[in-house]
Order: sequence, then structure tokens, then C-alpha cells
Amino acid sequence: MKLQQATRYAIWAVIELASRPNEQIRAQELAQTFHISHNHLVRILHALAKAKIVSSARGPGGGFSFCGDAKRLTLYDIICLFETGWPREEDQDLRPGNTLVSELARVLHEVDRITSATLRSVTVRTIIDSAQRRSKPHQQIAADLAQYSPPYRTTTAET
Amino acid sequence: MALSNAERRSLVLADADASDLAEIIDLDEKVAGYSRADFWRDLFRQKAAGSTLFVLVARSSGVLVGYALGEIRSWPVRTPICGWLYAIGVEENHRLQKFATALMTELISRFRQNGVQTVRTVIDVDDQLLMSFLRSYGMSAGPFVELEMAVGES
Repeated sequence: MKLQQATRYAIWAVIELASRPNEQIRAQELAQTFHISHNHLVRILHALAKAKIVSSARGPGGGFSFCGDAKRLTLYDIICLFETGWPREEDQDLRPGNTLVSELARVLHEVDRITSATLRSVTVRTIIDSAQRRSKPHQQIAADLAQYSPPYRTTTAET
Repeated sequence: MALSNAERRSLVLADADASDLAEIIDLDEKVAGYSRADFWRDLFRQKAAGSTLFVLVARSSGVLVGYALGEIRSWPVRTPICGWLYAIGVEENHRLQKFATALMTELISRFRQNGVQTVRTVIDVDDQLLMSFLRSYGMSAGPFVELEMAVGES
């Protein structure tokens, strides 16, 4: 899937800000982190602020912070803010009378459907958690998951 | 509706037995939106006959609030034996309490105890809620794609 540069930067910025809650991060710092244009990033951050995904504070100590719901905000939500004409309208190419074009459109729709479903299911929180999980050894992952056992009591009654 | 700490502490995970079947069928219908009574009855028959099926139930204050169904089995496409998640559901008013996470963790624990190193599942592409949960748990796309075609009379 080919995303526009602005879309990729927006996703990076949102995830970086969401991974650092309670911090005000200056656009300059974000731009340096991602090696991207400061002016371009500021425009993107303002678009995200307009969508109430990030907020900004002026003055010393000011900057941008994530103000959305990381457990609800999906990659799909962010992409739709910046990509025009995506997702494609379903069946837009299913023109009657041209079976070859229609068949090709069906295949492309199949790809779009899976892409859309995937992007709708991945939240900002999931990205952050998955990145942390992958950086840990396997034993630590098991230990982290074990935290969900207490206060639950588990029985192993035989059937 | 958030549960109290006392209600959360009352949660018990257990292996399902035949006495749970009716409640599982009811809850599964609420979760899935359609009845799969025959599927569950057949499954319990297989389980009673001895199989690698795991049916877990979550009860809060004695009331069934969740279930998970899995099986350890081989698959005919270049993969060793693995654990399959067939179904998982939590009653709507008891969600966002990590009950599904507890069920999933317990199921995976059973898989691990039996030497399984990979867990797989196939879900409805439009079931965003379930897909979001499984991804938040750490699952991602595997090396297989489901394909199908109609073979009935047109």
C-alpha cells in the first residue's frame, strides 16, 4: 500500500506523541527524530490538531501532545484524514458490459477490503504495545500476559 | 457498565462441561448475532469422545460472561501442529474488563502445556471488534490466505 508522505508523517507523529503521554513535544524535536521537514510537519500537526487528535500549547515548555483515545483511534482514521479518494468507493469499477474490467475491479476490491479491515483493526495503542512487545524477550512477554491471571482464579475441572 | 472490584475478583475461568452447553449457546448467539447451536452440540460430542478441544468458560458471580474455544491440531499446509482459536466471546456488559484477555491467556497456556508454539485463527474480515482485540493481544497476519468459491447450483 502506497501512502502519501504527509500520511506517513502523520502516523509517525501520532504514534510518537501517544507513546509519550503527558509530554509536550516541540515540532522541531519530532522533525529531527524522523529526519523530515519542520515546516511540512507543522502543517501536518495542525491538521491533526483540527481533527482533535493532538493539541498544542504555546510558550516555553509548550509543544504538541496526543489528546485522542489511543485505544480507539485506528490507522484507518488517520489515513482517511490525509488520503483523498481512499478508500475507493466499492464497486465503482464494476461497470456492466465489460467483464474484464469488472473482474479486475473485483480483484482490486478484494485487496482493498483486506487492507481496509486491517487498518480499521489496528489502533494507535496496539502499535505502541506491539512495538514494546517485540523488543522484549519471549519470557518477558509470557510474564506480562500472566498479569491478567490475578485476580482471576482458574480451575481445571475435568469434564 | 463497569464491574466492581468484588465482581472482578469473583471471576472464575474453568473448563466447560456439558452443564455449560445451554448457556454457551445462548451467549454465543448474543455475541455472534446468529445461532450456532448445532455447532456447539457437535463440538461437545467430539470433546466428550476425547479430543484436543479446549472449551473455557468465564463466570462472574456464577453467571457465564465469556467463553473461548480452541483446538490443537495439524494443518495440511506446510505447518507443524499448532493451536487454533475457533471462537472467543464476552457478554457485552462485561467487556473492557480484560476478561477476553484472561480467556485468551488461559487458552494459550493450555496450548503451551501441550507443546504448541503458534496460535492461529480465521475470522470474519468485517468483524472489526474481534480483529482489534486479537491484534491488541499481539496477533498479526500469518502466511496463509483463505480462498473460497461457490460450488452449489446457480
